[in-house]
Amino acid sequence: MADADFVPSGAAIFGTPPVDVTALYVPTPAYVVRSLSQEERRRPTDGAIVPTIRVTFTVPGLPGVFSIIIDNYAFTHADPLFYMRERSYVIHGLYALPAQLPPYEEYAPGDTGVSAALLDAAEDASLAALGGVLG
Amino acid sequence: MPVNVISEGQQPNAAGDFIDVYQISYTVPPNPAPLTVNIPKSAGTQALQDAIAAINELTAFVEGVYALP
Repeated sequence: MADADFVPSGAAIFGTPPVDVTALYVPTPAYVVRSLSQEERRRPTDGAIVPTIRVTFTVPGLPGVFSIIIDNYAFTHADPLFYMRERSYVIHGLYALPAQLPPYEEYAPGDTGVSAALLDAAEDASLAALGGVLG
Repeated sequence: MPVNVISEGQQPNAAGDFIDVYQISYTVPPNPAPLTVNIPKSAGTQALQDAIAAINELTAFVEGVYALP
């Protein structure tokens, strides 16, 4: 499904304080967001209570349900989608072990999802690992 | 050393605070039992190197145990 074909549901505004999560719900090859949950965390540096959103997601082609916590303020002061892509890369990399994927930096700038090269590398690594089992 | 499944959990850090971790389950053929290492999610992409180090350490330990007379 191309991003342009996806029309988010009415859940465009979420959380306390409210933030726009429309872009988060657009499914990508790197991740598919399943749910959001408003939480709070204690900031280690000063002990302040920080509102944060736990984003639960799956990674297409890989087993498991994962979560990442993204502070509410990050939705207006940073790029939550970058955090999602980076986390997807880490999960791809962990499943590919002991093979190692190309460095994430090569794929991060301007990328809207896990690149074809990264997916190919992950698939090759998975096949290599499977070959190790069967062999 | 195929990774079987990655799940999530929490464990206390040195300061006693609970932190989110990846729980990475893998097997080392021909040994039968799956092994699990916990890697802090906060490490970002460094988690991959942390996982390799943790897996190597645990694998070496377990293989040593299996080699016991």
